Amino acid sequence: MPRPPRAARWLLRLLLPGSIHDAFAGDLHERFVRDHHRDPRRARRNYWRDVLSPTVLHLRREVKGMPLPPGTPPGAGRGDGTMTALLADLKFAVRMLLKAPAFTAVAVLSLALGIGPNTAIFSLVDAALLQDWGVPEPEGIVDMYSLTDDGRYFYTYYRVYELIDEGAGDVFTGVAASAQQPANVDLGGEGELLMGELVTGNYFGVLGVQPARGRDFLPEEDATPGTHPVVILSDRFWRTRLGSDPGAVGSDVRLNGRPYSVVGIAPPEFKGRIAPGIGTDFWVPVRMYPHLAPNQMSNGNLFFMGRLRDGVTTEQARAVLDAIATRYNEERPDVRSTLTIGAVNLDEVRLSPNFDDTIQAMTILLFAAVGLVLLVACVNLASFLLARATDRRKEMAVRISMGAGRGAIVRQLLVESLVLATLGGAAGLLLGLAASRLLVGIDPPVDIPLNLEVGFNLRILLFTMGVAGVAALIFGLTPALEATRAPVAATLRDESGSAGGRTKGRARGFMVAAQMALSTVLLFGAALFLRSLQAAMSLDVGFDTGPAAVVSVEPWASEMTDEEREVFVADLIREAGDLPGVTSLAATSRMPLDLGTTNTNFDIPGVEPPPNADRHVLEFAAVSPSYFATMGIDLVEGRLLDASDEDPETAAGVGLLSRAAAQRFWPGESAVGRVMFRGGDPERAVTVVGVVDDAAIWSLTESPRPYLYLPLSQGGFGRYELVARTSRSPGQVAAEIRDLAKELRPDVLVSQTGTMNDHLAYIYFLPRMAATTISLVGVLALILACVGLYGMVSYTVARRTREVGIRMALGADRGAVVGMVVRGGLLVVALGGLVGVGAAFGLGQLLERFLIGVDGLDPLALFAAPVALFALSALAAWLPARRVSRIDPVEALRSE
Amino acid sequence: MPPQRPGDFEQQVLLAVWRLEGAAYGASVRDELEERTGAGVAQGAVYTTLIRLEKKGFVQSRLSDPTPVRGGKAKRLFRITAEGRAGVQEVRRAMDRLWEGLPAPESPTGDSV
Repeated sequence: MPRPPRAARWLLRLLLPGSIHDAFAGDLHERFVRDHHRDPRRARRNYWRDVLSPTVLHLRREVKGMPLPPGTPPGAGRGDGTMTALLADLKFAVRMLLKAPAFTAVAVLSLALGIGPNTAIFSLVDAALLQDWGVPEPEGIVDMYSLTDDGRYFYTYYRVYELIDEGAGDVFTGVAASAQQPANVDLGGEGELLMGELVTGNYFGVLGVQPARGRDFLPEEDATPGTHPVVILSDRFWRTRLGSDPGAVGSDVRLNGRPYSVVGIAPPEFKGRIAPGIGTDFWVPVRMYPHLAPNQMSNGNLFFMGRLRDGVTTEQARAVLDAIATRYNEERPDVRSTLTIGAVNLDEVRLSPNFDDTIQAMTILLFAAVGLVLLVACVNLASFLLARATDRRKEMAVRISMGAGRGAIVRQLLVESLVLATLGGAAGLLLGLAASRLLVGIDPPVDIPLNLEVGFNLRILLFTMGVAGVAALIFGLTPALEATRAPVAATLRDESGSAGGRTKGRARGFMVAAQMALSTVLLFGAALFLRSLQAAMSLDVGFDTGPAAVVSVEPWASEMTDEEREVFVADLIREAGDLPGVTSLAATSRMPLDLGTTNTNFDIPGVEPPPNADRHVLEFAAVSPSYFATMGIDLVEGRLLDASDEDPETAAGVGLLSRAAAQRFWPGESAVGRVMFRGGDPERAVTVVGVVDDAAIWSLTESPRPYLYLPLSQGGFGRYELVARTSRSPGQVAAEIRDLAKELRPDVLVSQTGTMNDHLAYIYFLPRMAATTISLVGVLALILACVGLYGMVSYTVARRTREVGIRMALGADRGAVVGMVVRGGLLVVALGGLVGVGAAFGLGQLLERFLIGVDGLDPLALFAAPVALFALSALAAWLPARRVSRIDPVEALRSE
Repeated sequence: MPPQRPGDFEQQVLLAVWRLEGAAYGASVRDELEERTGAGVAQGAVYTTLIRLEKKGFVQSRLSDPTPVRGGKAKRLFRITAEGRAGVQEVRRAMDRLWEGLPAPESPTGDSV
């Protein structure tokens, strides 16, 4: 039997007195059960709407003083008392807070600064990781990949799909395959690169997703290669690009220059199988690969998803898949195939089984950082409230002497904390949502269009409410308990300055010290991240990272014959090289450090392939002859490529190796003149004509990788990066190259127009992002801690007015008195800082593993964090301490 | 004391209770209203009105036994009183007098005989 949302039921119980609650909740329950049969989502929504309706409050008012109907069990009307008392507490709390607007403002702001970052991070995590796949019963879907020995999941071949489709009918009702495929989507304008999926015809059926408009793919559309250009579009594409046009189904959309007929629109909740935070924009039958992905099908870039039959477990499916993998391997004795099929339940996948662990670790790190900020903010609040409690001793004493129980007073103070927390939570929610919009607005420099849809939702609200609630408990409980401990009689006789005050002073000092310790840790972490970024940016990557224009041209995404493409690329290289101010220009199929790679395999006579492999696998780029001069990569041995290597008439298969490759294959010998056979094919020999210096390929810190450079004519896949060194503005030159490409072929896709700096932003993105975030968090914590210190010192000054008056009357120097107060504050800072530095040692050891080129005990960071802390806190202590010197001794002695 | 007149929405709720004779409680009254008037109403509004009508003496209520389809909650059953009937009929008469000589509204189904 379905049950209404727990939170809504709970809220209703709180809102309505017991006398009416049961009958009313029963009515709602009845309607919920009925709605649930038709649409569970709508049922929940309707239930919430009824509970949150203002009419429920009217009902509450109407019911008061209502006689209970006959048949009511005894005691059903209880709960009224607590609720009424709580309401009275609430009214009183609001009145108290309004009476101290400055206190309330600082408290709410502090809390907002503590809660906001938590909400911001949570809403990002929510948008990226907590989204549903939009697939009914995801626990019944099993994703299948090829699994490597070291536990990584990879895409695999269509043949594997055929075997699973044939052989796993006992465990799956159906198996579908999907390959990610970008395409140039053109609605009669510029065109843009969007992410899509090539899918088998049963994809939507297996997942159990119904197109919201139009229809699913037909069996014949997935039967013969290249004959059915049909497409199903995402709801987002339909909304944002087609303006929700109801006539979209049946119209045409151009993909890579060819019209595809729109047969359906996916439902809004289904965002495809790439990742919910990225989103698929179009689905095309996999049989259209000859058009959309001519070079890719043989590479094995598919993964599969199967729907388990009723009563079949994932374990049983795994056993069947193991048998299928064995069959696949037996089909290929010549290549020593070692396929293992890895199977994962969809409801256990967040983004991809490969990255989920890393992402989880990063998420935890982020939450730890913002959690610390919240803790600092809470301690601030606790410290403020403690001071207020001291000021309100008299009020409490009066209330206790009038017969108020300790519980009632603690409850009253907790309600005040809750009101503060609610206000702070609301402000934090707004702040956090604004911050998350800003963070998403930072365009990550990746080719894939990220489509994180951050925005307000119930999960974010509940999370923020939860955080605020926990905060209220943390900062409210200690002061509330403390407040009731005052000796009633003494307080009423107005014996201030009793021993209780000193204890509280010490408690506040302890809290400020804790804040300072937390801030030191965060600042130290921030300094480490900044140092790491600095180290990353000054690493030698083996090529010239100086100013240059970088333009990505994608002829594969237009309808061109191979011949047309070669002519276009040759023309573009020649004419772009002639642009004014261009000193050197080169084309390559792959820029170094572009977060991707292309590889191919070779037989090398006399050199054994690595264990478990049939051939040597080499990463490579196809480059124009001028590439090495343009990129500043030096020749070590032999010769560079020249124009004759590009000419199809005279070209023999030639290539250059990186120094690391030459050393791996022929250590201590010359590599020049050696021959390698591509794919083991004697017809496709590549002769090594030269060796060049190593350049970073994947990451900044890698040890030099074996790499191969081929002539452009022998390795291009239809995507080219043009790099131009220039004496003019690189951005300007890049724009001119783009215009030139468009002039030569108006239909060509130019996917990026930028500079070397833009390109390197790829690789610096994560360290930069991490350093920025953690620095902001550290600074925020420091500011909050200083507000706490300021508050503590101000309070000390106020409390010690009389003492200072006596001292000054006895002839104490004003400067000395100020010094005394500041010293008191800084002693606390020093204690906290010391503990913080101790903790920072531990943190350093932990972060050392994540960070590039940084010692976990980086002396600069260890030095900078406490210095920044001390400088700012000296200011925070000195500002209020100055007030001491303005105390008039006569006035001070007369007061109280 | 002249009988109090029920307000606009009160009349609707009262008529629904009357129609449901013996089986009127929060959920069924809401269904009846939504079905007959074609407009959605909040459960809270229905219930507030029922309670108000009870205070005015137009309806009486009693608790039934709990049922599982309601999450184990009892129904609060409402029954129209003589005053309730008199109240709505009085309003009806007043409205009829006002309608006299004016064109009658078209029936939405058009087949009333």
